[in-house]
Amino acid sequence: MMAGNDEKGVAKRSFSNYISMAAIIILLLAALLISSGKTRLVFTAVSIAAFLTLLLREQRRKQALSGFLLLFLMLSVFYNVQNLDRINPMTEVNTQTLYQEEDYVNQYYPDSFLRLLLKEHAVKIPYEIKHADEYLTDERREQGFYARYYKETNYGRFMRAYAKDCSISTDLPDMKETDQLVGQLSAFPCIGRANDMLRYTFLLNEDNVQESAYFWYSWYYYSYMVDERAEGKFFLYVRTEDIKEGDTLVALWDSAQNLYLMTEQYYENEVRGYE
Amino acid sequence: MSDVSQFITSLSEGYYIHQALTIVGIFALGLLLLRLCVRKADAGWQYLLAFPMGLTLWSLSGFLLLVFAIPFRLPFLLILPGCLFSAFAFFCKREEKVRFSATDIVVILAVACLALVACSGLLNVSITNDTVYYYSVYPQMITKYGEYRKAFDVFLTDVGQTTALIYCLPYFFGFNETFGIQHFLNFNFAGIFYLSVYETAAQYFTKKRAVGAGAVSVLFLFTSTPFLITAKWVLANVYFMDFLFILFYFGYKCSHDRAEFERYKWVMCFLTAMLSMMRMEGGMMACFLILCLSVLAYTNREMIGYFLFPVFVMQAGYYAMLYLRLEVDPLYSFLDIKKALLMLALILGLFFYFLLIRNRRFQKLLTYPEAFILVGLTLGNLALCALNAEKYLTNLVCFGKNMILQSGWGYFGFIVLILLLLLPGNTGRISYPDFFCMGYILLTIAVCWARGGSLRVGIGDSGNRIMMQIAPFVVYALAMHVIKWYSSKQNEMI
Repeated sequence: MMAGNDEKGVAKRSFSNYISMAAIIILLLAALLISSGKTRLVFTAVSIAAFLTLLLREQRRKQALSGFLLLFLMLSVFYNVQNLDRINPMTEVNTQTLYQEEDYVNQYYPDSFLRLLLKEHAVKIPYEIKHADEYLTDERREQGFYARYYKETNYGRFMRAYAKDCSISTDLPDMKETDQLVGQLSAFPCIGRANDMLRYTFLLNEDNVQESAYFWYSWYYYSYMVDERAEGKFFLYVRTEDIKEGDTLVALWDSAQNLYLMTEQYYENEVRGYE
Repeated sequence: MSDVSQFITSLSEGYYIHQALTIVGIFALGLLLLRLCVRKADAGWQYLLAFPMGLTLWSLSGFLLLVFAIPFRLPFLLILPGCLFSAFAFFCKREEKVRFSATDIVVILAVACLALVACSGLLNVSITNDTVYYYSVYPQMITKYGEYRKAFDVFLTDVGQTTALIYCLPYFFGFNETFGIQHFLNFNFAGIFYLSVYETAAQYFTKKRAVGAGAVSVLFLFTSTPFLITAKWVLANVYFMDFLFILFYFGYKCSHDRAEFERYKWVMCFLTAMLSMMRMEGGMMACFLILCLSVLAYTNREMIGYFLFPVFVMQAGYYAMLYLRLEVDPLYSFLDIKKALLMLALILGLFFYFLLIRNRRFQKLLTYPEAFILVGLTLGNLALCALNAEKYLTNLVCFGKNMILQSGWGYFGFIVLILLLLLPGNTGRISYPDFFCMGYILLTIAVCWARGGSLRVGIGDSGNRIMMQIAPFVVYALAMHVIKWYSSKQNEMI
């Protein structure tokens, strides 16, 4: 950096000028070694221009700096703004919700969609949400983690938290019976994976046992189901085409933890008879 | 519009207008608070601070309700601000009555128009997992249950609580996301940043040149990659960055003029409280801000009363709720009881510093407090490096790689370096903006060491996002150097 203009500062200015020049040379070498393509070109050109600027007298340097500022401003306006999406994927907002059309296309954040949908509809689920004590006895804990605790209750917790109303209907098929219906139910549109949705249902778990904490949920729905087991991905299937205002929905899930959501009418007419 | 969009739109009737009205409501509340607690404030600043103050009022009210286990419901949320307004109206000696003019109506109409633009979806955003779960699902659960619950687990220790409360607004007022609120804050911040640069430039330039300096600075900031990424990413970073800048600037502005301090002391007090819980490292950052302000001309009483005390109340109250009432103790979390105690110890340390040392003892040693603080931060970093060199150096390398490989930085780092090398340095004492930027960098490296796991190379890395928040401070500091060099007052310190 440069110092002031006084007599005492003249020698100082030369020294600090040399420091600045040395720093620019190091910057130039770093740019040449690390960067590539257009970036290398820009870094090299600007470094050389900056180096040459340091050789000018102060008044000329001010003018050159104005040129640099203009250049950097143009670079910002014409390059940064246009390339932002390439650096960090942006979402085009075409609805007034967190869930956007491109999320549906890419099958991202399906639970955002469910939270929006369920707010307006009552839901029936097949399982009562029982306390952890009814699943996780000492004997079962000794044998390892008893997955049924999560499988039977977490979807139910989600429905109870976000639906307009949630009721238990023991007439509905349980996981094993739903397994027989998968061929038909998996024809519904798939809106994405359920791992994250279920991982965060720990927020809704008031059982106050170690397995109700985030650590266990994260372990089960990611480390265990995704990393260790091949069947670690499970999906959400939602039949939206005949959902109308005021309809009651039915939520079923199979042993592989795929969720199927449909209107009660569709269930009664098209699914129930085929069990 | 496709079938999917149509279906989603049918589920979101009324959301647009609800969000726009909420923005106007927040603005109006903030303006009312400013009219009550700020005497003879500059009109420009009143209108520009209204929205941030409105958000602060909302979040602080909600936070106090939740910490004291009072139901987080609308009637109670209205009672607290009501009490606050009454207290200010009754206790503050005012020479003039609170008045609303035709200009206020025009401004509110303009705010409404801007809110409609902000909520329209014209501007894109960046959404990631943290957006959905930390800042949508979690706020929805706070709103649903109306209380903090033990089951919230790591969300109580890893999420900035006052920011999460901003994200509760949709669930109270009938919409689904906060894109409009965030974009409106960005528009608001453009005005704040412009006025900050303009006011400082006006001390060196003619009015016309100062306007130009302000405009160019805003354009440069708002087209710089780290700022744009932060401003559009639906997380806590944009709120934290904006609020920290307001405090950074006002802390500096009010230190030169007693009348200004008397006007804005309560604004700074509330904003400091808000900032300290906007992110989990907020308390640490607030203490750093207080240390930076301590080099300016504030009395010890003012530092303790208006800056340190609010941080203490927020942090201590939250920790008491977390560890004594809820007994939360996640296996892995950003905040744990050791860090909480360390935070309280730091606040206590600062308290004793103001009570016993600052302006009283070691005057010769503290002739240049900026240098002292920076040396302290550097030694602190070296100590952390000694404690776990592998983690510290991994983090440092990640920071460097993120900048060089442009993980959200674009050419910003390079441009800043070139400008710094071309500009003349200050002779003598380091300037406040430069000191703040250097301290911020050192503190961020230290905070990221303390967070738990190591950082990673990538735009979404938490440490990288915290570092990107430095953008407005660096642009402001650079603007000050350029202004000084181009003015005739070269030897005056900014």
